[in-house]
Amino acid sequence: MDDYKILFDLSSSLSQKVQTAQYNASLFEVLSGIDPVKLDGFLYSNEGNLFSSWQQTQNRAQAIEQAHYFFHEAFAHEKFHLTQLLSFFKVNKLFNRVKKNYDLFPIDKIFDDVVWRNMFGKHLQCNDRHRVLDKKFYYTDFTRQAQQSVSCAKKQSYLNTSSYDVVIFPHVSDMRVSAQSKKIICMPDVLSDSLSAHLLGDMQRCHLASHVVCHSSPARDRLLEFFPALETRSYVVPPLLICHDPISQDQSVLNQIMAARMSDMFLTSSQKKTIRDSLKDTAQVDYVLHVGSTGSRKNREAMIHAWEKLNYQYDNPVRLIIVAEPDFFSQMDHGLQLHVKRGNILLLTNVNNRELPLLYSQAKLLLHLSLSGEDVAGILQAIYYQCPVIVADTLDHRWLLEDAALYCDPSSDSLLAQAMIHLLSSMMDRQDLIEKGVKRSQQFLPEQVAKQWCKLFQTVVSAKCGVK
Amino acid sequence: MKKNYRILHDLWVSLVGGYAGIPQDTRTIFSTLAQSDAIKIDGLLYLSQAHPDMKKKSVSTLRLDCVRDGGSFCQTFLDSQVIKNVDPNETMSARVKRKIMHKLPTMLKVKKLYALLTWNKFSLYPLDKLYGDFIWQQVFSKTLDSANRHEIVNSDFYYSDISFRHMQISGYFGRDMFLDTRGYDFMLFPDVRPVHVSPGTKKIIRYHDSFGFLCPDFFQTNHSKMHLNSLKACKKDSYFACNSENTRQTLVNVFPELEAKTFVVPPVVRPYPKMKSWRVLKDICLKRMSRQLCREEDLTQVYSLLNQPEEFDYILSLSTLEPRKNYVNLIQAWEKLNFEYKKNIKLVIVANKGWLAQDIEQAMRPHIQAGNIIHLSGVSSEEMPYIFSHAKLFAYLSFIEGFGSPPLEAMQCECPILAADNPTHRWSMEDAALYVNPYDVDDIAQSMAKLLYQQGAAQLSEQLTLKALQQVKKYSVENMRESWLTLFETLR
Repeated sequence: MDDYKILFDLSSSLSQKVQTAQYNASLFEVLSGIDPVKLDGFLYSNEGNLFSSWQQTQNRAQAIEQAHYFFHEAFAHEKFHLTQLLSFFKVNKLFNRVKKNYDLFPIDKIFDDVVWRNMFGKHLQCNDRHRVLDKKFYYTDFTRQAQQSVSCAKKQSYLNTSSYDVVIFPHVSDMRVSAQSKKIICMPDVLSDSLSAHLLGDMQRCHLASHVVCHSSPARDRLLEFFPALETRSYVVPPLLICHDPISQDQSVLNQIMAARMSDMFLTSSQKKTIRDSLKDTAQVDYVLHVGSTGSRKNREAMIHAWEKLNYQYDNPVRLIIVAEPDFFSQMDHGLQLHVKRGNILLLTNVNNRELPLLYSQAKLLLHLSLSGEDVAGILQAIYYQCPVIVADTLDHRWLLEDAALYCDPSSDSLLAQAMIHLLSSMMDRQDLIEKGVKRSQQFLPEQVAKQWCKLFQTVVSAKCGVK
Repeated sequence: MKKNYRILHDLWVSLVGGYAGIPQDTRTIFSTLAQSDAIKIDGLLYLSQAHPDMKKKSVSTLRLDCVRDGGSFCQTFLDSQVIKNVDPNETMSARVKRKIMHKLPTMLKVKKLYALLTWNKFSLYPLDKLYGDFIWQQVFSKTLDSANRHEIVNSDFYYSDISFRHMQISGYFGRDMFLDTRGYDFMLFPDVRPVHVSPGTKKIIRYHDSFGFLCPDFFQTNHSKMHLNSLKACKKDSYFACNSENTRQTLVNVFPELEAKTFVVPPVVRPYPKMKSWRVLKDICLKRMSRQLCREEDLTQVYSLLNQPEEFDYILSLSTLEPRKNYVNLIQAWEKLNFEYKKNIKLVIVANKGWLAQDIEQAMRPHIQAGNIIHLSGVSSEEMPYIFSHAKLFAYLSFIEGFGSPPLEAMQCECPILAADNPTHRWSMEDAALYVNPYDVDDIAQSMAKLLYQQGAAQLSEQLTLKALQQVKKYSVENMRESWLTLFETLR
């Protein structure tokens, strides 16, 4: 089999959205392990500095200095005031650059630690480090801001990717690639919250020049309703299951994790102490788990109401544990304050990748009532770690999980509560669901997904150019 | 007695810095060289901000003028250190008045800006011996023992109309600035300072680390940018006295033309005797308990732990709370250790809050509230031996270091060291520490267990401690003085 030279856009790893960054880092790691693939990564920052103008150089000191400035801007935690004052010039510069051809500049190996810490370290396991850092990384002077100005000006910019067969963008990007390269866009659902109007506009412009990968068959069908021209250039590659070695299997460890990761939201110090003490005294905590992310289609209120009903109807008290980033809780209904203060709902933040498997494996069930079909990393991990799941009855979930989940109409609290009670009380059905879940999860293991990507590369590379 | 070398030493960083590594190293270098018969070392002080009234026409020989002008310099510095507290019950009118008064000096900055942009030649003005106490108190007392006071106050000190802000401008925009150092053989800067010195003087930069430009993710401001620009500006006319071989290698790796201009002069590790007393230790902890991350009511569990008569085991770490120090992985590894071994060993962190520390704060806060992490700040050199001596192990897991003095300080109190496996630590501690991959939480936790709980832990700790006591002797005052003298001899 021929080698494929593939370039992967890693810029989203520089963003603050942990889940996206984690998924892309994991996908990069999986693709880097495919034998006939020679994978490189490239980065660009959100904003360009007024003074930055990169040049290709053979002088190592200059190359290091330039890469240093790139990182400096990419991580800019505090903006230089003068730059803000001169934003008029910046905008002017951006608009004047929209036709520019962008180049790739190599990142010196001296920055390997910087690349690992910021792009991969938080998401991958330490033993992946060598394999990932073995790859080459580049940066470019193209910026997210430039992309927006390109969209506004309805002009085009080109990235010089002539030495690559395929360039993968894990999000919608209007950036054109060299004629020798095929462009693959990993498309979020057309109904996704993350797909804003301007990204749809970008998609409108670039879809004739791209191959598009969807995460499920129903998502692809919806995409084709919008962009029928993609019929022969759209594909389905299932999402990747991101698994980590669990930190422990011990219930007492779980209680300690809960105590340590409890959010400060709605709680005073003494209330936190009371809850922490109660966790210390409890041998086993029964709980329903929700791994949350923000978005309008996640049905969080329905989840809380269903859980309340469960506790009214079920004999044994069952806690609700919500694992999410801090901003998730700030958007929550203040009606749940009472439950949080009583310790019936535990809000956990900063739970790391090694601790999640323990939370899944000890949970009575995972509740995922989102109508969106793309936020599925939690569901896949749950079934892999033997946690039965109840999900919203959508085409995406049915395609993804087949018979490995209980499906419910998220608008009906009573039905949801009944489904939960059924799973909590019927050991046989519960065990059956767990077994089916474990079996189903094997389809999403890295080696399986890697095979599908490999097939996709074959198809895309051998596809006729036809694409402009 | 005739002195062979006349040296001027820039002490700004020691004037404004506290217990961090660079100010401490600067103080010990000055003290060490001041003790040498072959060296006449003078100190140079200046302000952080350009002060329009500082510019003088000529250097006065009248003592009265010197006393008056020196007093003005000291007062300006002390005024800049005052933190103005805001009264929470302040009325609206008082608030408006305060804001106007606060803004007034900013309005007058035109004069300051003019000074910044026009001055480029700077002189030295003698600081009268009358200000010996000021110098001892503000510059040296945080690091040196009072036994050193005599030799310090007997040295000569100068102040200058140059400011740190001038250096920054020089670093950013490549503007040439000149400091009049006539009469000195060497001008010693504690960091990369893009200032030219007089033709007869050789400029030596004490180079502490390269992470200013190698780790842009660890810095919040344009510090790293300035570091790189300043370094480029200094390449031609400076020699670099690096604190470790790895620091030198990294510098030469990026700028090969500096090969012949870089030298290694390791720092002094201050002597710390082993001091054991639980009563004193608990007293220090209560006195130095930090409120930087938690409110008073969140500390009740820590107070109750410290007020109990029982002793407790703890792992110690000491350094600023900033991402380079790798506290997040340290805390995760410590948690894992406690999950696995259920011994509930505490973690004592002696650290001032630095920059980009949100992740560290989030990781620390729940454990402080639960009484499992004791966070101390503002601990003096006299108090540290008690904290080192009772620790079960000292963990120092920085991703990258220039030298890393704290573990060598802890070694003297017979505290076993767990250190990040980086070339600097390997060079400075050799086989006197147990090394771990700082990115690997499992490795850190396992190594902690190896030193604390696993079979042979006591023997391993003892072996490391014995080696450590030998290793730390390499960083004595005598050795450092010898290295500096060799360097001066080479450069002359």
